Amino acid sequence: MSYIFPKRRLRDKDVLDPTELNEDVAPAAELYSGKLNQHNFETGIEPTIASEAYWKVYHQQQHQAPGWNTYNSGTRMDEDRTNGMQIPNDGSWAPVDDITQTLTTTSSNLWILSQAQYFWVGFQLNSGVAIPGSAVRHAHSLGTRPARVQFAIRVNGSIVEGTTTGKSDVYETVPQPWRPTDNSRTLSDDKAGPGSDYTEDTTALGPEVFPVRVMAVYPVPPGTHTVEMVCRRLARTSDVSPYAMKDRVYIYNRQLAVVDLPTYAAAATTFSFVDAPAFEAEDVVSAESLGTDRIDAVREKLNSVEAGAAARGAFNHYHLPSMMGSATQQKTQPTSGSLSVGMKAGYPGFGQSVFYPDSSDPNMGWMQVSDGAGTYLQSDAITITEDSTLIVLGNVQLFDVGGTKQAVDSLAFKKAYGAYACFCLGYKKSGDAAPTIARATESYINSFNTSWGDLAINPGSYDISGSDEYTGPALSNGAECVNVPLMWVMKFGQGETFSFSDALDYITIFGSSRIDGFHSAANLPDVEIGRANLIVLHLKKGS
Amino acid sequence: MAGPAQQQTRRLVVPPGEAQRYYSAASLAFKVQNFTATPEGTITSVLGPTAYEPLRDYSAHIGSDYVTAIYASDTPHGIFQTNLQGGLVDMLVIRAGSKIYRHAGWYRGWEILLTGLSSENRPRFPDQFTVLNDLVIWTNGIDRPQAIASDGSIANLGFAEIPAPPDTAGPMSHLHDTANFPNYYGYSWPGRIGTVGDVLNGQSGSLLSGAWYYYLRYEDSYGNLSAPSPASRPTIVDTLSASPNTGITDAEFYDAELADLTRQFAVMLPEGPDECVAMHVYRTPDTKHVSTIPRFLTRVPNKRAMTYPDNMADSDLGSEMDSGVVVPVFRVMCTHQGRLVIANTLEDPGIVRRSDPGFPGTFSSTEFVYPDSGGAEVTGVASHDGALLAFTENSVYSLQDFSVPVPLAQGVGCVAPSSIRAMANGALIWLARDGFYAMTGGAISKVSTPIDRTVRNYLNRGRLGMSAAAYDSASGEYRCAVPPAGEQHNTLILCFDGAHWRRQRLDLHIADFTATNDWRQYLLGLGHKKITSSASKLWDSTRVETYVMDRSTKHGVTTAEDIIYRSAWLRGDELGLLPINVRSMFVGMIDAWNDDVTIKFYRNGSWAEHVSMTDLKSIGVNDDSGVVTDVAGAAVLGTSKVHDPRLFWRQIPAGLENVNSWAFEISATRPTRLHLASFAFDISAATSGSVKGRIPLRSDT
Repeated sequence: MSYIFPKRRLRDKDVLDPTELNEDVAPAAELYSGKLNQHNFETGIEPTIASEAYWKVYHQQQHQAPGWNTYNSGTRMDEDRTNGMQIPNDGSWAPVDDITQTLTTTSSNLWILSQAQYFWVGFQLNSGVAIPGSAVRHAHSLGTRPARVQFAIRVNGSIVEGTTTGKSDVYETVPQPWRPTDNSRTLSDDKAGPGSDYTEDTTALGPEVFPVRVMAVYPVPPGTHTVEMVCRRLARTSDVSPYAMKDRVYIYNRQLAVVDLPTYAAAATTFSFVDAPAFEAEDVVSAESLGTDRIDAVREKLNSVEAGAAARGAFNHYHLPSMMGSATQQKTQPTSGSLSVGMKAGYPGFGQSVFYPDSSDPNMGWMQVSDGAGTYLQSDAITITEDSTLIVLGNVQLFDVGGTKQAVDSLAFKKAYGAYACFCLGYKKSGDAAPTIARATESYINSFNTSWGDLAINPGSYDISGSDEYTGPALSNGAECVNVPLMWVMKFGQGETFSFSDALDYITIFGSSRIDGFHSAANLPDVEIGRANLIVLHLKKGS
Repeated sequence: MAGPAQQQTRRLVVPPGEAQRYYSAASLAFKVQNFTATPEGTITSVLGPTAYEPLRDYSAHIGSDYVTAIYASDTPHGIFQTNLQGGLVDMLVIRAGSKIYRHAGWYRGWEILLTGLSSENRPRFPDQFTVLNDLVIWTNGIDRPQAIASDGSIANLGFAEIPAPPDTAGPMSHLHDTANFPNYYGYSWPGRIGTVGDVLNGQSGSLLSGAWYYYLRYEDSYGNLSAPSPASRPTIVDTLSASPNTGITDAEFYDAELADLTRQFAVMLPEGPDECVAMHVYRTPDTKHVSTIPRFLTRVPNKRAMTYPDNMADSDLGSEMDSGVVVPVFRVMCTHQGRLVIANTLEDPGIVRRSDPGFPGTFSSTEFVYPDSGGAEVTGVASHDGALLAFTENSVYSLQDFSVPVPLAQGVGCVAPSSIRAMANGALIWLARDGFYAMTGGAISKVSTPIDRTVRNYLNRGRLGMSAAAYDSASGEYRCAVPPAGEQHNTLILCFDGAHWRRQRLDLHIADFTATNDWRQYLLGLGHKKITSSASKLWDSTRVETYVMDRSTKHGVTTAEDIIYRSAWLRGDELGLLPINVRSMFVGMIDAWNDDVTIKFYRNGSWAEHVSMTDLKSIGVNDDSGVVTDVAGAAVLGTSKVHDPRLFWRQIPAGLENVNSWAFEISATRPTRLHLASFAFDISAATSGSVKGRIPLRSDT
């Protein structure tokens, strides 16, 4: 610790006692040898930060085209699409392929960010149905059955508590939210009596096509650690048959980033010390013995402190420079008076940096997320001058994928099996004429909801006659009404994807739409979005 | 005067301690002021103190939450130093005036952690600090106790408020509604709550009527829990059979299962206070059929008002809820076996409570004891030698078995909680009404008998409660700052090395002491400097200072108090009956300071000065050793040497004739230094007739 004081102030009449002279100098020399602490250093000295002293960012991404072409190609994710990584159907956790990270740390907190895009394949032509877009059906969901997939983060073989998507009781049944007006009636109806109806299999992700992002902060001891994003598919509890042979869910785009945040770094400094040997009786007091060998030596060391002289924890926020280049969050929401912003732009194909309206096809291209009145969601003017990492997180409130209602059985409706909202992150370099999309971030959501938002009948008491539909919230609250999570990691520096010269005009979120069984551009789903945000964290690596 | 043949020489190694007695043991002096013992068995004058954070002009460097100095309008109350986070964080905290400050270091001065505290100038108990679980705990017995974390964040210790009970919603039954069965109104969702009975009609399963109650506890950022809320209003489920209408023949009609009858409830949690970071929700099982003891339901990590859907079966509830109490305002505390022990609360002066292990702000309602059978006010608590001790003003109790107080001493108590400190030899020292006591190995004995005169007659007994002590590892002394008689502040420091007492008077008011628990082993004091230049005020009006005791720098505190060594009354025989002549005194000293000091002689029990000399040198003669020529002010670089100080003797012609007893006093004004080793006297019997004939007759004037 900190402040030290001499035993006595040397005055003219003091005897030159070697013990007292030693007490004048020795504590300062001892303090220098790893005992200087936070109280000894002035605010803002801002020492040089060693490379990756604050954090080390690991990132793996796999981009995989979903088997689609442009919005008007008519392609679809049918049962024959098997090029992704299949989520096991047996309910066991499996690591998402090719993004697992193995890293060696000190005592650290790991900030883990993962994302995956899954497809429940089986979209097929529904011959005889003339409604554009609704000419596609799903061979396995049949419009009512959920995908039953779960994701989680696993560290060293253990699932991190709280990261599992879905309910903790995976076989929980959910009572259906209505109440008969008279349950004591004597009619032959299964809605009477003290019992109630339940929905099964709603404890995991249900949509056929959906992106998932899972994050956690997890403390680890020193050592080597394996960080995985894992997935599984829960068995059904409803009375339908087990998964058919081709009833498969595949993962395509996926990413895993781990930010190692050391909390107690391993010793990495060289020992720094200064010797101030003790005076013995009858030693001559000379400029050399008192000055050069002791006081000067200690003074020079203390005026030029080396790393090993400071105690652990000696530098805190008073002294250290921030290695956070910037941390920005941009937000948009529909302009006043609007419930949502419509985005109707044809998906240009996987990884294609084509923007709406494209010169070759005015219906095609990525459209920048905005408030609907010309204000775009983007983080502007990002200049990188040293080795750095940008962690980009985006969220889009997706109200409705669009499409047209299609009956799937006597009571349930689905607007369009094969209608999709597509989103991705993109950036524009200052030297480029046009932005570039990050293909690994492409995320898709299909029109998955059943019986909600069709505005058929105002929700009310259930009529046991069986002919009425029962509905959910109005369209203004969205048919899908989900958050679309996006993430990406951009590394700048030698040997990295981006160089220092890549000044960015902006980073942004793009959106588009597509529909299976395409008929015409007019039939493109009108994707309705609400609020959206974009977070860009600039982490400097250090030197 | 006797000739040389009749001379005797009486020799004394310097008595290192004091005793104000006429017939004191020869090994004690009458007054040893501003001396400290050395490992060599000698005594040397004390140095310092110096300011811990000298006043420098760096106000431009610091923010509004920092100060370069603490001004004297802020009464000094307490100081505490410790290291947190395994030594990573150096924590020096002081309380002055209405604020708590943390030392922030070089060019940052003092960081203001908290304002608005009571600065009581008439306190009965001093501020108390302790450390537990990386938290510094503070109390002054008036305001709410505080917990200070390693990052300087400060918060009330635990919760003083009892949460409001949560509101609840469950199913309802319309008694006059024939259209629906019981439990079908209100918040009626099928769930897993309810007690199943299978004998209502003897044939089919049924749900029994039941009632459930909810409780709430707040959690703060250190994991402390508040006292539980009162019970919520009951959430009720009415009796219902799975086949309520047995006369109906339609088999499908009442196709209900027991799982259809059980319910879930909604729990509306109120918004918590600022310190709340999470709410612990508890629920009883079915109180009609299972138990009335609340059990853990869930932890909601938020302080916001919210509704929690409860669908947990009685069998899945967690551990039983502890009964807790609010954190009271308390006057004394210590730590023991990982718990915070508090005592003497505003409401209950005779109580001692202990916290849950590791959680200094969580107190169970059952963890308390009254050490004194009559509930006498607890004046101190201490953990020592594996036992928890509780003090009242007149008794000492062992709480080794917390629930069974065992009196260790009756008639001996503690009047100053901050005087309770342990020495390196294992003795626990404290200040009782009649002096200092020590407990070693469970045995209590008085250790201040030699200075009874000081303790009984020369201390302000009404202010003893504000005395403050610390153990100074460097000197091996227990030092206790006490208020002298007629003074309101702790300006006298009594020092005990385990065998002898000495005193320090440094023109300072020491409100509190703390010993650093690191390699430096400093003794720090918080207080004011006493001034004499102004008739209108007694204390330096500029600053409250943190003093480093026994250290001297150019920022040192210049104090005019003298170094004084006054001997006990020396006698020619055991009773002082024999008149003698003291021809010469020989003083054995150690080279310390190249200047003169004063020596005075007294005779026959009178402190009226008999003879005085001001040219006693505090350094030996200038022989070939070079000690004198090489003193700091005359040393020549390259020529002068360092020298081990010599033991040397000086002869003083005392010339005391026909005295029954005599004494001497060696004094100097600091910064003069003095190092005493031993004394010797040439004495002879005062002859010329019967020796005893010189004793005055009964009526002599």
